[in-house]
Amino acid sequence: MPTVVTGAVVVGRGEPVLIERARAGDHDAFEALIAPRIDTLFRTARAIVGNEADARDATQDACVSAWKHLPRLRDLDKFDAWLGRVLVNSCRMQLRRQRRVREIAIPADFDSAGPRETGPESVDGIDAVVRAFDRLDADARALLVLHHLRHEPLAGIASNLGIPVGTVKWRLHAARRALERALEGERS
Amino acid sequence: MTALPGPLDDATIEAALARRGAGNADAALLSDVLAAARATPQVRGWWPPLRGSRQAWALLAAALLLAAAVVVGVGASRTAPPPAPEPSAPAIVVPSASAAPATSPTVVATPSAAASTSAECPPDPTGVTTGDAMPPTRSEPMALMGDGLDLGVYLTAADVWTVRTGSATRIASLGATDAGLARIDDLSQDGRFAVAELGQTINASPLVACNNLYVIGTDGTSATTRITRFGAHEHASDARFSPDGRFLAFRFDDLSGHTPVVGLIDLIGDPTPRTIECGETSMFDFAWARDGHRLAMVCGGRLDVVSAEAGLVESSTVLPFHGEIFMELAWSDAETTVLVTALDNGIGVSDAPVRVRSVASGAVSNPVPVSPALTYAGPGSATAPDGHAVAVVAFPRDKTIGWHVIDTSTGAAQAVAGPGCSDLAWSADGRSVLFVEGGPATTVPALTVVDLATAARQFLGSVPADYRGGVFRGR
Repeated sequence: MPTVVTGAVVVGRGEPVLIERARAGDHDAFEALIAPRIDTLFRTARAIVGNEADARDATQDACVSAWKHLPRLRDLDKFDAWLGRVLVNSCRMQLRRQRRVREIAIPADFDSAGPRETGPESVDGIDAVVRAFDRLDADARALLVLHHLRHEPLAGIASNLGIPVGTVKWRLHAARRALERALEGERS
Repeated sequence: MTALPGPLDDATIEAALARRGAGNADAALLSDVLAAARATPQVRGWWPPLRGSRQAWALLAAALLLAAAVVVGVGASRTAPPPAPEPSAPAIVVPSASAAPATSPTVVATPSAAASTSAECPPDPTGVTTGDAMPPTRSEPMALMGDGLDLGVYLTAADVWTVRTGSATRIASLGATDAGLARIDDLSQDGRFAVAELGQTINASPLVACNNLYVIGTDGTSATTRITRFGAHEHASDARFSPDGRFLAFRFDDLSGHTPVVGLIDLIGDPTPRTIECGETSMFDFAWARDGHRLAMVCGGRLDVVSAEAGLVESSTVLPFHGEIFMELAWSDAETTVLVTALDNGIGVSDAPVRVRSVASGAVSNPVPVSPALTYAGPGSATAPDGHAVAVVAFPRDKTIGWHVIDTSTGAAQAVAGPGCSDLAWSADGRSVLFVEGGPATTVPALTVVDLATAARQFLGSVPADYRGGVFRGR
C-alpha cells in the first residue's frame, strides 16, 4: 500500500483572525499559523529538493518570505495556496543553482525494453524512482509532489502555482512523462 | 543492474515521494523560522495589490476621475460621474525594486550610485568583467570549421564567448556569477549584442539569489550593461530582443506569490523596466511581431496582441481550447500568429497529439493535425525566421525524443535532431537548422548543421568540455 501523506491543513475558524493579525505584524499570530503547517511544508520541500539540509533552507526561506510579504496577500481564504506557492518558489530557487537544463538521454530502444521484473513493492524499484526524481526540473518535481504526495486536487495545485487547471493537467502529464524517461535513464 | 519498478503507476510514484519526503520538521527549524521572521520587516505599500487586478485599476481610475471632476468644479452641481471605463489590459506598471539603469549599453556592471537595489541585493551581484579586466580563463575556446555559423554566443564555466568561425573569442568573465544562474537568452538581430541572465546567491544562502539581465557586446570590445535592478525575489528570464532591437521583452517572476508577467525594457527610450500583465491570469508565452512594436501573449485562455510602446491591447482573441493544451507561440506572417498545441488526453496518458492552429483578425482556425503524428514531450521551441516552421521537442511513433520541424501551414513534420540535442537554431534562410548534438550516440558533443531538404549533416566543431549552453544563428 502506498504511504499517504496528508498535505492539506484545514483552516480553522479562527485562522482568518490569525492571518489578519499576522498581516498587521503580530509575530505570535504568525507563529500560531506556521507551527501546525511546518511539518507539511518541510516534507513537501524535502520531496522536491531531495535532501534534509536544502529542505530546511527552503522551508525557512519560504516562511520568512511569507511573513515579509503577508501584507500583500489580498484574499485571506487563499493563505494556504499562497504559502504553498511561496514554498514551491523557494524550492525552485534552490534548484536553480544547479545546472538549469538537464539533458536526459533516452535510449533509442525506449519502447523495446523487456518485461520488468519488479513491482512497486520492490525497494530497489522505488529507489530507482526516488533517484529518477532527481533528474527532473523544479517545476516537474513540484507538480508531482503536490499531486502524488500532498494529494491536492487539480484546482488546489492550480491555485498553488498560479496557473489554470488545464495547464496543470498537461504539465502533470509532461512531468510524469519526464519521470518515465528519467527512470529509463536509471537503467544505465 | 538496478532493478526497475513495474509500469510507473500512481502507487509507485506515491511510495517514492513518501520516501523522499519522509520526516518531520524539528523544533529547531520552527525556532529558526520564527527568529528569522522577527528580524525581518514586512513589506507594506498601497500599490502591490493593484498589480494583478483590473478591478483595482478601474477603481483607481474612477477615483482619479472623480478627483479631477471635483478639482474643475463640475462635481458639485452634477450627479456622480459615470463609472470609469475599465482600462485596457494588460496594464503596464513598474516593478517594485527596479530603477532606471544606464541609458546606453556602455556601462560595466560596477557599483553605481544610481543603482537603487533592493536591500537584499548588493550593487554588483555578479562581478562581470570585460576587456583587459578579465582574469585568465581556464576554458578552451570552441573552434569551428566552415561558414555554416553566422554567430554564436555561449557560456563556459566562468566566461562568455562569441564565435563565428575559427576560434571563439572571450567577451566577458562571469566573476562572482553563479554558473548555475547564468544563461544566454538571445542575440539582437544585427548581431551586435547578446542578452544574458546572470546572478549570484546572496549571504551564502542557497535560496536567495539576485539575478538580472545584462546586455553584452558580441564584438569583444563593447562593455557589458546591467539593465535591470531586481531584488532577490524578482527574476527575469527568457529575454528576447524585438526584431528592430529597440525593446527587450522577458518573463518576469515575482517569487513572493505572484503569477508570471512579461517584462519590457525600452533600450532606446525610457529604459525603466515595466511589466505587461495578463490581468488575473498567468502569462504562458510571448512572441514579438516582425514590426518590433507588437507582442503576442498567451494569457490564460486568450491571445492578446499588445502595443509595446503604449502597453495597450490591440486585439484579444478567446482561444477555443477544450481539452487542448498550449505548447508554443509564433508569428507566421505580419498579422497571423500560430499556436502549436496538443490534444489533452489526461494525466498519465502519454499520447497527446500535436496540432497547429492559427489566429488572424480575431478568428482561430480549426486545428491542423501534425503529420506524421507527434506527441508532446516538453517545452522548447525555435521559430524559423520567416515563420513558416516551428521546431519543437516531441515524440514520434518510435518514442525517440527529439527536435521536429513542423510546417505551420500544412502541419507536415520532419525529425531533425535526436535525444540529448540542445540549443537548436535556424539559418537565416530557414532551410537548415543547427544544434549542439549530444545524447547517448554522441561521443563528443558538437555543433552540427542539418539541411532540411536533403537531411545532409555537417559537423561544424566540438563544444568545450565545460560548455554550459548558448544561442546560435545559422548563416
